[in-house]
Order: sequence, then C-alpha cells, then structure tokens
Amino acid sequence: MIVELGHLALVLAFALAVVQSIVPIWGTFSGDRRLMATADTSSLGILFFVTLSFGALMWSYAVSDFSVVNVWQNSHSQMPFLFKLTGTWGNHEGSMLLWVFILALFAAAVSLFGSALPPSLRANVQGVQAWLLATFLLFILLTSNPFARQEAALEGQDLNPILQDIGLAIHPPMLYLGYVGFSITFAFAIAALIDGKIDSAWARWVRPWTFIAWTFLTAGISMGSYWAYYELGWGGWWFWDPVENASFLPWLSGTALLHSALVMEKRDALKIWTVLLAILTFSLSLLGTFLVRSGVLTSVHTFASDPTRGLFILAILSAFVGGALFLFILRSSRLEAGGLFAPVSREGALVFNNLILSAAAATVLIGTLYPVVYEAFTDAKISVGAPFFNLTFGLVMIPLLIAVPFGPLLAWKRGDLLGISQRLMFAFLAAILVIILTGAFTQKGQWLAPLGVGLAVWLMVGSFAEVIQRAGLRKATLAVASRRLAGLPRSVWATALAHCGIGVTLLGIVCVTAFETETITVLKPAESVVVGEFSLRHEGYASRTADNYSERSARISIFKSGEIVAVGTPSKRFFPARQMPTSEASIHTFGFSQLYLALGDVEGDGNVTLRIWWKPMILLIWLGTVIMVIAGVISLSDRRLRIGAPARRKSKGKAASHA
Amino acid sequence: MNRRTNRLMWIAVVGCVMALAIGLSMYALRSGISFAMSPSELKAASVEPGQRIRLFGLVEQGSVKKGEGLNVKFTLTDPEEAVVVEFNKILPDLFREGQGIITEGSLAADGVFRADTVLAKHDENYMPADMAEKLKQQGVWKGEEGAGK
Amino acid sequence: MLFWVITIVMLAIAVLSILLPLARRVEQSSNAVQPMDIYVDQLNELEAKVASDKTAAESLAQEKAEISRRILKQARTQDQITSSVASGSIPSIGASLIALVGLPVIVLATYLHTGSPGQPDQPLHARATANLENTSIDEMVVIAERHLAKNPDDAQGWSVLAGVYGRMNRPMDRARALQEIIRISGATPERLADLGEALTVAGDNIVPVRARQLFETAFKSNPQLAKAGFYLAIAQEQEGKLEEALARWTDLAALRVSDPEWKSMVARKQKEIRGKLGLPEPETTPNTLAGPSAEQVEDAANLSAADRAEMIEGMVANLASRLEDNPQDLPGWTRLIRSYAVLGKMDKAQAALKKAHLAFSNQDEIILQLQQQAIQLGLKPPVSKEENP
Repeated sequence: MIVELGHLALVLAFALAVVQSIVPIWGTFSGDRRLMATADTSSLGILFFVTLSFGALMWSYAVSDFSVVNVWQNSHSQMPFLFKLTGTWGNHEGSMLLWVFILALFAAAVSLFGSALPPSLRANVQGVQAWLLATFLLFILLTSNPFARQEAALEGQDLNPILQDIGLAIHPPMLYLGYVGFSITFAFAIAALIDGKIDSAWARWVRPWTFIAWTFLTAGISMGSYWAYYELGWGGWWFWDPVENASFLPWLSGTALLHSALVMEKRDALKIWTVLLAILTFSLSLLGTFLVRSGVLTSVHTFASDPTRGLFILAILSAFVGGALFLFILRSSRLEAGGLFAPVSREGALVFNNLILSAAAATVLIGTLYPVVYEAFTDAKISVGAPFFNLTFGLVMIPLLIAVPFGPLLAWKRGDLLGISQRLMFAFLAAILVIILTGAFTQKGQWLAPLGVGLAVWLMVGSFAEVIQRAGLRKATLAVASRRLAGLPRSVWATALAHCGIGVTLLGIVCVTAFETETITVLKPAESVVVGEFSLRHEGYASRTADNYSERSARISIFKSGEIVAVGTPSKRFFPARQMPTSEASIHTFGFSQLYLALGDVEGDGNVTLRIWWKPMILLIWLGTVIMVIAGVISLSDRRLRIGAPARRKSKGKAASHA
Repeated sequence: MNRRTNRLMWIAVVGCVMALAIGLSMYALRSGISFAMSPSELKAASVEPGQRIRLFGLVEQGSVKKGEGLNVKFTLTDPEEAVVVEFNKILPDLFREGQGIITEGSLAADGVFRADTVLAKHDENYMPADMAEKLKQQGVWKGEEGAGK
Repeated sequence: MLFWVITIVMLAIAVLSILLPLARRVEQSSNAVQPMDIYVDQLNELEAKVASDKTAAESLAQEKAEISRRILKQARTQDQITSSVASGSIPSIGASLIALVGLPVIVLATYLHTGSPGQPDQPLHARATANLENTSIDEMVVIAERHLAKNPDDAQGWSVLAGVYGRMNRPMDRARALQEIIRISGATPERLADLGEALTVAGDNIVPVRARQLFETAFKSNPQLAKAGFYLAIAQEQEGKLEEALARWTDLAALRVSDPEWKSMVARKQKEIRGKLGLPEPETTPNTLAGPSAEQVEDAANLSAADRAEMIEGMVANLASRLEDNPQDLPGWTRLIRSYAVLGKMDKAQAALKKAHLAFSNQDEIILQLQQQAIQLGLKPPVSKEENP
C-alpha cells in the first residue's frame, strides 16, 4: 500500500502543479490577491506530496520490495543498507524524482521566504515554477514512472557497483540543488517579462537565489570531480566528459549572472543581458538533462537511454527555451537602455567578466555539441577530447584570471587604473617571486608551469587587496585595522574569498598537470619500487568476501626515508549480480599532495601490476572550491543580500522568524 | 564619449572576443578531435599514420596476448575486419574477451593500432548505438548474460 | 479499504490547499518590499561607505546622484500603481471549481491509468518468511543462495545445493558448490570425482583437462572409485587412445564383480572399442567417433538417473556434431539413428537418417543397409535418390 500511496502522491503533486500553473497567474492578470495567494499553500502542498512520494520510493528500496520494477532493476537484497537508500536516486527514474523534489523544494522556498517580494512578482514566479513542475511530473508519470509494478521478483539486479559508494549519497543531491536551483532565476526572469517590470530591485531579489544555486552547484561539481577521482581508479579529476560539461556550462553562465545582476542592481543597466543570462543558465541545465538522458551523447554517466524519453525532454527543452526566448524578444524592446559604460570602471570590469565567461561557455558548448552536429551532417563519428577543451577554455580564461584582482578595486562609473595598479603591486611582486622560484626548480622548457603558478599566486594574494585597502592596513594601527576588518560588509569578504578560491584551485590544477608522475610497474612479492621520495614494497596479497562482492587486495607498505608512513591496500572487487569488477584505489595524503595506488592484474605467482601516481598539491583543487562555497555562504548571510532585508527595519521580529 | 560611440565600442569589443573564441575553437577542432571508427571503417578509410582515432569493436576471443611487462596485444573486430591493437598500460577492469571496448590512439605504419587509452564499459550504452545494433544483427553481440558466463 | 480512505484524505488536503487561501481575506498591508525601499537602502549603504572612507567621497558622489534620480523616478510611478484588488468573484469561483472538480478528475484519471491500486507491498523479509509450502524450487534455491552468501562456511548447505543444482541441470553452479565444499571440508576422492563430473557435464560431456586431472587424483587415492575410473576411460576414448581405454575398461570390470549391469556395460564398451580398433580403414582410426553404443544407451545403469540422462544426451549430441564434420562414417550414423530411436526422439532419428542418406547417396549398398535399419526401428525408409532430384 505504501508504494501505491507514493504513486498516488506523485499524481496529486502533478494535479496541484497543473492548478498552480493557472490560478496564481490568472490572479495577477485579474488583480485578485486571493488567487495569487493560492500559490503559497499549493506549492507547500506539492512539496508535501513529492516528499511523500520520494519517501515511499525510498522505503521500497529500504525493504527491497522487488515488486517495484525500479527497485528490482537497481537494488539487491544483500547490499549494505546505506547503498539501498542511496540507490533510490542511482538510476534514471529515481534521479528524475529527486530532480522534481528539488524543484518543489525551491518553489516552496519562494512561498516561505519570499514574503518580501511584491505579490504579483511572487505569484508569477510560483506560476512559472509550477509549469516546470507540472511538465517534469508528467514526464515522470508518462515515461519514467518509478512506481511501475510487476510480480515480485526473488532477487534484484543490483545497483551498478560504481554507484555503490558514499559519493552517490551526496553528489547528485548537491548537484541537483545547484542545477535545478537555477530554475528559480529562470522563473524570476519569465515572471518579470510577464509583468514587464524589470528594474534594479528585480536584480536585488534574484541575486540571493542565484547565490544559493551557484553555491550548491559549485559544491556539487567539486564533489563529483573528487568522487570520479577516487572511485573510478583512473587518477583523473576532470575528463571533459559531456555530463561534466553539462554541469559546468550552467556554472559558467551562473557565475556570469551573479556578476551582471550586480551591475543591474547598482547601475540599473545590463537589464536585457541579465534577463537573458537568467534564461540561458537554466536552459543550459535543461540541455544538460537532455544530453544525459536522451543518450545523444555517450558518457560514463548515462543511465539506460530510451528514445521516447529523449524526445520528451527535447520537447520540454524546446518549449521552455523557445517560449522564454520568444517572450524575451517580445518584451526586450520595452526595456530602457542603461547608462554609459566606461571601459575602466567597476561595471566595465563586470562586463568584461561576463564577456569572457560567455566566450568560455561558448567554447565548451561547441566542443560538447560538435560531435552531435558533425554526425548529423557527415554521418561520421568523432569525439572531442580534453586537448580541445584545455586549449580553448584555458586560453580564453587567462585574460579574465589576470583581471580578477582589479575588478573589486575599481569604482563604479570611473576607475583609476594607475592607483589600483599601485595597490596591487604587492600581489604582482609576490607572483614574480613565485615564478622565479618555481622556474628555478623546474626543468628547462617547462616555462608554462611557473607562469601558471605565478598566475595562481597573483589571484590568491590580489583578491585580498580590497580587504586590505578598506581596512587601511598600511597606515592605521593594528587595533583600528582589525576593528575595520570586522566592520567590513560580508560581501567584501565573500568576494575576496571566492576570487582567492579560484586561485587556490588554479594552483592545484597547474601543479598536478605539470608535476604529476605516473609509474606503472609489476611487483613480485617483497619487491620494492621507488616513486619520488617514496619507496613502495609489495607485502602480499589477500582475498575476502563481503555481502555482495568479493575482493582481492594487495598490501603495499609505503616508506619515506626508511620509515614506514602508510600501508596501502589497492584492491579489485567483483560484484557477481552484475558480473562486474571495480577498482578501489588506495589514496594516501601527504600535506596537500596525494599518492594514488591502483591495482592492475594479478598473476598466478603473486606478482601484482601497480599503477602509482604522485599527485602534487591535488587537494588544492577541491580546497579552492570549498573556499568558493564558503564565500557563497558568507555572501548569503550578508544583510544586504538577504531576502527582503530592507523590510527588516519595519518589522524586525516578523522578518527574523523567516530567516 | 557620447552614448552612441560608447555602445559601438562595446559592441566592437564583444564582437572581437566572441570572434576570437570561436576562431580558436575552430582551430582547436581541427587537431583536437578524433574520429570514431570500427575496424572495417578504419580499413576502408585512408588514415595517415599518427592521426588520432577512436577505434571501437569487440575483443576477439582468444586474441589477447600478454607480452613483456605490461605490453598486451589483442585483436579488435567488428567482425568483418580485424585490427591488432597494442597497449602498454593497465587494462580496465571490464576488459574481457568478447567484450565491446573503445580504444584511443593511432595507427602505426606497420598496421598495428597503438592505443594509449582503452575504455571498457559493461553498459551497452557505452557503445555507439548503431555499432551495438550492427553487432546484434550479426549475432556477435554477447549481451549481459553471455558475457557473464 | 484503508487505501481509499487515505486517498480521500490526501485529495482533501490538496483541494484545501487551493480553497483555503481563496476563502481567506487578504490583508492589504503585506510586508512586501517595494522598489523604493531598495533604493533607499542603497542610498543608506552608500552614505555609510562615504562615512568610513573619506577619500572615496568624490567618486561616490556620482553614484549617489544616480540613486537619487532613481528614487525620484520611482516616486513618480509609484503613485500610479494603486493596487486594484477587485472583489473578483468570477476568478475565485473559477479557481474554486478548478480545485474542486478539475483536481480530483486529473488525479483519478491519471492514477487509475498509471497505478496498480490494490497491489500490496512485497518487501523482501515478508516474502522470505512466508510459508515454504508455496515456494517453488527456484525460490528455495534463491533463499539457500542468500543464506550461503551470508554463511559461506556451511558445508551442509552447499552439499544440499549441489544436489539441487545437479537435478536442475546447472552443472557450472554445481561445480561451484562442490568447490566450496572442498574448500570447507577438504578434498576426498569422491568429492573430486563429483567436481570432475560436474565440469564434464558443463563441457558438453567432453572430459576437460582440469576434470581429467581431478579424476586422476581421485582414482590414484582410491582405485576402487568406479566413477573416476569410468570417466577416465571415457576421456581416453575421447582422446583417441583406444588401447589405453580398452585396458582401463578391462581393469574396471573387476571393480564391481557383483553388479551384472556394470559388467555388461563394461563388456559392451570393450567390444565396441575392439570393434573400432579392428576397422580395416586406417585413416578413420584417429577420427573414430566415441558415441555411446545403443546397448550402452539402453542401460547405463551404473550411473545415477540424472547422471545417466545427462551423459547420454551429451554423448549423442557430441556424436551428431562430429558426424556433421565427418559424414562419411557409416557405423557412426547407424549408432546415432539407433540412439535417437531408443531415446524416443523419432523426428531426430528421421532427420539423421535423411542426412546419412544424403552422405552416401551414391553408394546403393549402404542405402540398402540404412533402409533396412529404418524398417527395423520403425522409421520411414529414406526415399531413393531417383525420386528425390
């Protein structure tokens, strides 16, 4: 009964979403506040029913109810309990339900925390969000119903072993929170276009939502990258896989949106562009969903693909993107043009940021879609590999990375480039010093690596120039300076940290790319191999059986200057239900660097093939993203950005209960 | 600077940057792409030695030969034509005889395909759809059960 | 019943979530923020910044002027937007109707189309503890497998499962189970021979090298073990070592003197191999087909029922496939046709007869022999070649 109630709840959510698609927007057109107000309760109702439904599916995974086709296909009675639960979204149907759950979550968040929004804007946002909800719920019910039933099977077909990992518990929900979170900015854009009122207040309202989505997306992409790094056993952390690109594209345009909304809020300019970016960002999320789910592009991430699903998502994509752009064209002529833009000014720098991010997104998009287009025209299959992306994306981004520290120092309207350059001199000197030092330690001909490290240091140090300047650290006494530091708006700190995070990530990327070593060797028992400053000895070989897999592992002692520092057990697992082996890499952290051991073949006489990577500074890649996420959280806590912040003065108690 | 020249200046900047980005992409696409082919397509096409290619097909039964150290040679078939592939790294977990795989590398002058990447995926999704179709028609495809035995 | 009660409650929640706001009076003064508030806020912020950073005051002045202009403009437009909340009876009646009628209709139509109302949940533990009387063999096997996955050292469990696998004709699984038993309780000659037998059956009744080694080990430690000896002899025969096979059969005859069926089987085997060795054409000797003789098929009684069936089936199939490759073997065809007939597979016997007929279509004498055999076995005699152009 629980399964069927879950199914029914899903249908109820769909019906409510259909009603919410019509009634609130009708309310804004007829000026009836009561109709608008229905969105507040009905979006809570949708969240309630989708949650029930998701809970019911999770329950049937937890108890291994193999009369549910979806559970039977993706679970196994012997799986650890945690993986039974996370298996709920480790497949197409379940992950679509998670997608919709998060969509409902954001819609409900607008009802709960959007009380400061003008009623008609809020009703329209909720209405647009309901269109999305209704469409995707229909998609689930018609093509990917997770509650389809069958005669109870005896045993499930097991979850793909690669997904049997703690990473699955966190990575998709995070990523979806970001991905789907941009639906709110999309809804804001459409709502504003319907209303015809796009002003700097709109930019102020949309920014917190953009920050929430951006923060989750950053965390999600980063988690996914780390998961791929340790779980796949290939030692790589970014593959320019179509699915990775699909999540990276909204990130790029979302980052651009954050910056352009700032211009719109402060200068009442770039309106058309900002609204377009809000539409494009979510369109890229939808495009990603389409690419992944339709099987148009083959990827490590693809679940079983089904042409009807692909067509359905393509229809959703064209309807929403096409409709949004049509509305945009209709209304954009009514928008007033903004003021003058001096090239050297804060807004000039932000436009430059948007320009480069769009160009970078364009190159990634070209590389991702080129195989599809090429095949459509010539019938030959090609693949666009990492070299393409590294060359184009890398080159396009460099000017932006150089410019980043300048941006926050520039004043609105007219900036003083010379004065700023002086303030940034210390960062410039630090970068030069690092370039010389790194150059001295690298081999001849590797001139790119020192420059890359220098650029990273320039970013990391230069990002704090505004903080230093505003605190007056150079002239004031320590006490005064620290008082000023504490008094700085949080957004200043957030900007500095986010920009610094990019530098940290860049440093990790440069170090790993330039200084990584890879050793592949066959080790006899008790034989050793030297990797950099480490010596690794093969100690023996063991097998064991767990609930749903068997495992063979090698014991490798790791010595550093004669002392044993770690014992690694790289292993291979075999999952009989899917007849599928997986590798479990053994990863050892030394500072920010890691030693990565992966097991290859094992020969009869106990010889093991080992693949050993030394990954210098690799953890900085993810540490940088963690810093960016922290920056996102700080900026959300900034008073100026908090939803409905100005209303706080009027009714302090009331607003506080909302926060 | 008046409003008009200001706007024109920005349009020029936008145009330049976009043109640069797209030009760069087009340039990189010339060298950065690799063609995906089956062995018979490879035989039919005139491929210069050294050009990067993604070769996909089935590992022929009994063709895997381990050489010195990590060196391994195997035959990839589609199954009308067959190409010998040489590989010097660790084979992926899912590499098996009779399994569909994708290799990436280039054709050497001696007709041996030197791969630097071997991708094996249990999932038939990983194989280009029409390749899987072709193999199924010819009855060579070993579905999940067949490969499991 | 409970299901439908809950359905109605959930429907009511959904409908009320639309109806309640429609029935409520909306207070006019919400705490919504107007654009004006935001501009004022921006202005305050700017002033705070000017206060803290005197040097920047000049550049911030322009910014301040711009915000002030925005405030003025907003003040002009704000007067025009007087929120016009009509009594709006038509929209709210329409919305109520959608909620009361449209919503339940959508829900029931969709759910009854896609759902399976009334199908109970079937969580695993509920099914596992359900009464075993209704469980099929397949289900019991799955339950046993699950038990053994958790308790892999249960030798008793494995040996039960090995027997079941044997009867279900799953020789590879049987071999796996036997390997587990050997791992847990150690190797005995009997177990090794059983494992070898499972591997042989899995290999279409050709004794594989590994099984042969197992039989040899088993037979060495227990020369009284008839099963091991039997398969060793078969293996030698399959390898074409007919003299060695013959010698082994002679030794094996002594193993079960009191068993008449065993004796007659061994005797027939010996006779058969002697016959093969005595064939005049030397080139057929290496290709000689080791199929079961008709008599052997009729009473391979020294083996268990399951083994016997498997052995015969396998050997006949084996013989048939070899004849495909080497059709010029009259005794082979005769034996195959006979085997099929004895097994009651008349259609296959008929088909084999036709194939043999084709293979020797230009040798009238042989055709005659085949026709005679056909009549003896109750088959339709093959048509002569004139009638079959």
